[in-house]
Amino acid sequence: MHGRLKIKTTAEQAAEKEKEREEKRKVYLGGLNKVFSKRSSETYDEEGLKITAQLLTANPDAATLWNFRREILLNMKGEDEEAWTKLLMGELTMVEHCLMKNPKSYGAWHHRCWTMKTFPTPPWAAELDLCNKYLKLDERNFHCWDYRRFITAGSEKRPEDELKISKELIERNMSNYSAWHYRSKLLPLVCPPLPNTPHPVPVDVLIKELKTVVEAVFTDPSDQSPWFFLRWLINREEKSPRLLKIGLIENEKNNFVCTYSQKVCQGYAPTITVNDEEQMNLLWFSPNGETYSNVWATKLVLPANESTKIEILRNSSDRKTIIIPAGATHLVEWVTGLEVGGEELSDLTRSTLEEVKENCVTLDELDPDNKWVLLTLVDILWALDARNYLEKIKQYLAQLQSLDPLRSSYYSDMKSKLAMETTIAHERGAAESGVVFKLSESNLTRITSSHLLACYTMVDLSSNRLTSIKPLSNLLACKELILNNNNIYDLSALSGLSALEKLHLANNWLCCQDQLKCLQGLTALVYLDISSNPVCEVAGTEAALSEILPSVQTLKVT
Amino acid sequence: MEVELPTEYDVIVVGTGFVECIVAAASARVGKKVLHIDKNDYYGGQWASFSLQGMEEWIEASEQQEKANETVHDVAKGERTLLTCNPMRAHTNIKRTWHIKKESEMAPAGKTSLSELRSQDETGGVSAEGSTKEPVADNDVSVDAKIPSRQESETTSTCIDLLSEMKSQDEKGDIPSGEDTKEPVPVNDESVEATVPPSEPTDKACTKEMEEVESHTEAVEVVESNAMGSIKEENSNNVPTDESKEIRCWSQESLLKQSRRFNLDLAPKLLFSRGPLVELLISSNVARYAEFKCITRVLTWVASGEDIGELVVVPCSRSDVFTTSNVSLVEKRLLMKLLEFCHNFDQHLEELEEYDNKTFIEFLKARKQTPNLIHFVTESIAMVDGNVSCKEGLEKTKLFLTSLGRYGTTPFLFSMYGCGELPQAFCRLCAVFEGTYVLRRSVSSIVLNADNACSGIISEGVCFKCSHLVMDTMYAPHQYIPVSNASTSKSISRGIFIIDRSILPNKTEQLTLLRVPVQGRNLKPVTVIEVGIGAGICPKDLYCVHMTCEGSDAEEDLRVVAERLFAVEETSVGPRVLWSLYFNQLDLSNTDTMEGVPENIHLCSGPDASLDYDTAISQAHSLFTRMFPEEQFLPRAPDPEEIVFDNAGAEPKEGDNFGSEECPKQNEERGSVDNANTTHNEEAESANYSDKEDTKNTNSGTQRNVSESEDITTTNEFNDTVAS
Repeated sequence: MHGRLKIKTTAEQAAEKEKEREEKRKVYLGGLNKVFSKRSSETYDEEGLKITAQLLTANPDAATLWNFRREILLNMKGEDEEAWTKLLMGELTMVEHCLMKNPKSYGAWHHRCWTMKTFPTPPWAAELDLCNKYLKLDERNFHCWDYRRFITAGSEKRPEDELKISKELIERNMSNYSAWHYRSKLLPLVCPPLPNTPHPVPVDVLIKELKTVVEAVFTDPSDQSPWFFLRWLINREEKSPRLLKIGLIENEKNNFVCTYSQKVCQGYAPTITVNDEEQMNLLWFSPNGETYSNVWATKLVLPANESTKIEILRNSSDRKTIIIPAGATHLVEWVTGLEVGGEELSDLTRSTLEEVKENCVTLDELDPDNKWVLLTLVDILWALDARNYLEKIKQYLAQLQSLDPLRSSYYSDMKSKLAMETTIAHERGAAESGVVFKLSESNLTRITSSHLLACYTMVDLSSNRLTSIKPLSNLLACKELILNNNNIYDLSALSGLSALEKLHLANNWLCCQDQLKCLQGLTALVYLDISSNPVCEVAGTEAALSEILPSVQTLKVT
Repeated sequence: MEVELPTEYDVIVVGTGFVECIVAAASARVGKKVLHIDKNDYYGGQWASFSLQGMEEWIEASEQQEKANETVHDVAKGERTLLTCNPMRAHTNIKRTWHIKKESEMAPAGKTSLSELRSQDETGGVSAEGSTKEPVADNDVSVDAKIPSRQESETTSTCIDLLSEMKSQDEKGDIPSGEDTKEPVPVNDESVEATVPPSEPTDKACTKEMEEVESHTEAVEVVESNAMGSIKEENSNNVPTDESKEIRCWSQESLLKQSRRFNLDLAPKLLFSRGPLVELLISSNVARYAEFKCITRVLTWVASGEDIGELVVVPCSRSDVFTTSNVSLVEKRLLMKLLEFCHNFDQHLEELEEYDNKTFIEFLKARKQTPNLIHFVTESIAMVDGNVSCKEGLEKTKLFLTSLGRYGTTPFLFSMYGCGELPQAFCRLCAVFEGTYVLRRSVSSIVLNADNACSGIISEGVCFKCSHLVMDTMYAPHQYIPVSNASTSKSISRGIFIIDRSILPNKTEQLTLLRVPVQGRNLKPVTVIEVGIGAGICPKDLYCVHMTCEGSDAEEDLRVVAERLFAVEETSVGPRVLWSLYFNQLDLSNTDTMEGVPENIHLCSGPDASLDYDTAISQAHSLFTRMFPEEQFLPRAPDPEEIVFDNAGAEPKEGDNFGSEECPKQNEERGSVDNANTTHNEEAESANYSDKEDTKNTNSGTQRNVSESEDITTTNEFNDTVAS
């Protein structure tokens, strides 16, 4: 018999493999030495290209080799455009070999970008095919996603086509977060939202997209990718800042305060006329001197003993007039609504949200205790009517806290925000508004919307769980601030509140005298309560404080 | 040239059915000396796949009742012989029907009918390609076609179509093509008017057409001159590349001309992606010899009451559930929840205690599943009757689910070029390990010694000795197996249909599994598999539909489903049947052998009615274990780089056969090479293997290309898995 079959043993195979490896190592190191000597002698030739190609195909992550390769190429570039193009086409092939070895090689993708940028007329179309291929192999290869964006930008490919591709990818695998994200970037390009609407896309598109994404979340509610997209869809955000509130407050002299829905810079401040006389050279300042702030104030000299008409003008369509009665020192007025975009929800938006809400409620019944369902319900109820659904939202947030203990603080902050927003909205409707703001015993962990508190003369946030009071620097008008029974230790935010007369800080976390030094500049401060703070245990505190804060007449230490 | 075969073996395997092939491979793999022998000139036995021509020949062969009255062979003293049976007895009720005409029978087209066809064409119906009459006289390529008169009247279609293949892409659909300068003048003057093209062909397309006419004429001549009906390999240029949506008109000849593009299965089956066969293919490294396509969709028939209902895609994977419009939003959630539960049901056994004595349907209802979902889950996912026990339903569902997503979006794989490739894959392994293969050699009897043990077989007057005899049940002496007939034994009803469009057309070609539930007049669940060019089963634009159910009268059992799926009348929409074959196949998978079968005779049953290969695998495994309890069943076969040949480079000697009996059905030039009674060893084997590859590449060039561009990842992935 001939050709008898014999199978190699594992040992034989291992030995062969080892021998092969040894050979490879030798060849690689030899090549490396040669390339480095070429580079140091500035020899840019074909051979250099060939060797770097071999080395890089074996190890596409060697950045130095890529650099040397680019040096060679640029040196070889001649007048002949055709030859140059051919050379660069060779680069694309070579890079593809490297990508087969490592589809996530930074060096290889970078070199591909460089090559495309270097082309006289880049072959864009073929590159999209390459992207498709690599995204099929690994749909979350972010190198390839980056490259795809680079290619689509370069080739001026219509975003409509890309949108279609994102849909295909999502339909193939709805967990492809990258594709959902890509879609959220493309949709506003293809269907730009109407100006002055808070939605990311026009409502008809929004409804269509919602239908798809709701199908995805019903298919697998535990997959977070479509939920992110859904929350992006229903999220409403202001495109441009609005003037929310204006007010005259008594702080040293008359201060005129403008409150915006977003942080704006000084240049955004309006023109002001007093009795039809334009006020020139107004000096606007923000609390704490921040460049961007929700709150801007300026000193305004008003004629005494007569009512004054103040007109605020941002642009021709945006004007607001208030009449200040004679002798008034405190007057606050709302300019636009608190709601996002300043408007009530449109009927269409409302019914759309209601539908999503119904769907989520159904989903909650089918799959109780799903974090994403609850979180989305919170979003929707909040948007629909936070006041009305307050208890329901709180209940969902409490449920979320027990389901998702790792993010318990996040949900606490949401609760604080909810409490703050609903109280402000409530205050706004109250008859005696703009003087006293009270939100105590509400488990606040965080202060939000503090810019809307800028004009209150008394603010009570006692018996909460506050540690940071940084946002309170906005309280320009505040004369009495009650912060008892919190966890506060840093008072620096209060250093600019020149109107402050009474400060209640009983039962907090103040533990040394230095922490109180930042109150030194508050010349109006006459009352300070720091009883039941650790610092009270320190001997000599009272004496030291009277020295630091000479203006304080009543100092409660015990 | 005859080669003396050695006459002593460890194992002789008679029949090349799937189970026999696995056992042969497993035996050779552990070093046993194997002789594998089959009376047919093709591999696979009851598991074979045929070209259209091959199927016609199979039909013809099965009608000839062979008389096995061989002269009694002298045996040693104390020994006796038992006659074997003809394996063809497995198949009964064979009924093949051409639903299209022979060219010779085609009535020349009158103007009226042509204009009718044209108007149909305008509304997207049948298009006329031209009508000329071919003077093919005695071109009898079909066996006694028992065409009932009904079908006769059905096929009054007036166009012929040898020439239809020549239509060029440039032509508009409504201009009848057909260059007939070389053809006799059509009988009907009016049709001349209708069909004569511009007298002076000016563009390239026309010139090309002319050339093709010539090549076609040659082809026709070959057909005429060859009594066997062998048809030359077609010029691949003749394959229509027309992208238009026209439905072609086919004649028997035009179908047979493409005979080799068909791979029609006697026993179509699917592999569960995580089923025992896939695992065996991987663990044994036999996967290197096989290629697969994913089934791309699972369909079901949703009907209610008198409503004829419709075919809908069953959402089975997560992305299906996401994208389907066949279930409501809430149903999506309910279905996903159920599927997730079923996938891990064995981890929630405590929740299932209350269903111990309940049916699967009761369980599903308790899970708030809607009737729509219950239908999907029972009929298409678990593929069970709803009244099976809850546990069985869950197990079946789990089987389906665990196979999802391994290679594709459905759990199933289909063997490229037909299921008949699978037995051959194991044969190759056997041959690599020095198994000896002999086809076209019948075994007249088995030899028993005084202790009622099998000592060997007698084949064509030669006695071959063996320690173990593995045998297809159908070959087995009637003393051993109680075979009566289809009406009393368990039997499978099969139907094969060649149709001119998919049962549910889609923009990309699909491989379809459909299980038609018991519903209305349909009394048995019928498994339907539709495959086309993508799996290398049919020429372009044609599909092959396989139907399988348990039953004893194939045509009657499958009638309702066939009527629902196919256009019954000329005017109705839906795929038209061009060719159909019904037959019944005995299912002896659960039949006990009679007493007195020697310990060392191992009988292998043919295909059962189930969708997968599980029964065959477990049977092969247990047979092998019975034969060689100490040996490992199909340990991983080495890759080529792990193999060394003791005398590599040896010249092939005289007598080594490099012919193509390896896959005889690929070799249609029968009679030119007498490749019966030859042996081949591993070198011949490897030569044959590459032969085969070449054959396939030319044979189905377009098919391969399509498959490569469409779904190559499937096979690649599969091979990768194997490689790793």
